[in-house]
Amino acid sequence: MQLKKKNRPVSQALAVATCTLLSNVAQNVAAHDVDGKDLDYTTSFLDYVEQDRVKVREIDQTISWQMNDDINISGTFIFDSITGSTPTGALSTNSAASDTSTTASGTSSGTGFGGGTSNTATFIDPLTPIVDRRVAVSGQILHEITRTSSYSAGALFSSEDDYSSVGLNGSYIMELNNKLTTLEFGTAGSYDIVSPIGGSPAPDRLTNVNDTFDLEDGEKTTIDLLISATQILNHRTVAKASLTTGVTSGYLSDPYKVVTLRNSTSGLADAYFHERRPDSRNRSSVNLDISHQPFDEDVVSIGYRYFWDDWDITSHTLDIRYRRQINHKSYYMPEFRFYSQSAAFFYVPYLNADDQNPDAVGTPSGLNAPEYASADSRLDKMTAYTLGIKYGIEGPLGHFRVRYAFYGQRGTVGEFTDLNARFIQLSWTINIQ
Amino acid sequence: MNLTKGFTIILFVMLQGCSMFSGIYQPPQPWERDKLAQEKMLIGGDPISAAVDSHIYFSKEASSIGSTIGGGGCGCN
Repeated sequence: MQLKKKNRPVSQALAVATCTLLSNVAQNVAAHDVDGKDLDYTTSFLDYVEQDRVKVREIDQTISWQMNDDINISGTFIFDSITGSTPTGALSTNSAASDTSTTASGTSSGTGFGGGTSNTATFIDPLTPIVDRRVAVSGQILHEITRTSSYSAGALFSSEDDYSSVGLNGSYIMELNNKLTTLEFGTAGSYDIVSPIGGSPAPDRLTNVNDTFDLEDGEKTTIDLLISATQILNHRTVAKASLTTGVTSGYLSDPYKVVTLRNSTSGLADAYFHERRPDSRNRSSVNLDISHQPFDEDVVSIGYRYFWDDWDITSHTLDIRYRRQINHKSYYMPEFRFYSQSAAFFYVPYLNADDQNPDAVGTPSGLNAPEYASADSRLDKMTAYTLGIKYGIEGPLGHFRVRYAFYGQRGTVGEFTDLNARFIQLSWTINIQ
Repeated sequence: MNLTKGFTIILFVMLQGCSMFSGIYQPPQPWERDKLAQEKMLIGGDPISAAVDSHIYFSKEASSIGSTIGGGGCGCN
């Protein structure tokens, strides 16, 4: 075994990060395979389909170049497109009907939202078509400064039809205890601009969708910090603990989401408001991961994350994978993930017209509403699970893998909190001399 | 406050982990790390799969930070 490392797997982990700017460069940094090849090329195709909702297709291209024993440079290009329909947050037919049946009056107009009508507001469909494309490029360098210390630095730029983002990241990695322990200290920052299609603005308070206002694009900045410790426990087991924390500030609302003002008598919509979320969010998480080879070539990986933020969202995530080696070339790997989250403090399926106060000030429609409100089901209490399987084969033509998975989401309020999706991912990595 | 909570959790888990894993903590010599050097032992799994997972869950769930950090680069949430 060659002890001088080239960190290829780590560089790949950095290079393929899509929505994350800073990956764990300390992953198993104490030892890596070295095969004498200097260039790795990875291509991946994703086909993600939700039942009655959106479809996403994504292509990832990554090149990782090991310049010498100390420096690795990588670059990634991503293109993805999204089509289909997505919830607007407006009350749906089912939820309106069920809600009206429980009103004090016990009456309903009988038309409901499904008829495309409302009391006074122009009807907004609970689902709206969506078409978007994204291009992202990123570059990363990993430099081994000494035998036991390295740094990593990178940059990312992405652009969508209505969103753009730039980001930088950096980290310092040190190895201790005869390279049994690896510590990583990292930070990342990004600056994003939200430019809603059609000139929709970034309202600074709950605003009736029919009101006119002219605000500039929304902006937000994110700063994240990471500290992690990776420990080799024995010749078959490695574990990692990490703490991440970050703050995002600026325009954090979704410009396409609305909240329905619901008439408690008729159950119909009196009005729709642009949602509004707080303009800052502090997030933190604790992560524990372990990889273990129980038998000669099999690998079991278990990960747990506890997440919390100042929007009152907490979550638990459990991730289990078992890679079963079929022979020296091929393997399959079942995977299971369970996720559970609590609701944000400002999540509401709708606003009640009983809250309306004609004398209220500060809201253009006289709504005595909470300061923040969002009907985005992603902020609701939910559980989710993923069940999948991957098959991989390695040979002279590279490493090919195919992955198929189901993703299900179960919420608590409304029709669109439940989600069923499946995705297929094809990936191929080849070493180029 | 958040950091204090996080450090408390980590400390607790580390203490529990120390007692649980004291039996399996048998640090290998450098020449015994061949299994650990294999790419399949990477924590977080196959990077390209991890990247896709990160994108999907970031756009469908509210927990947008984990063992990787940064966020941004996507307006899907």
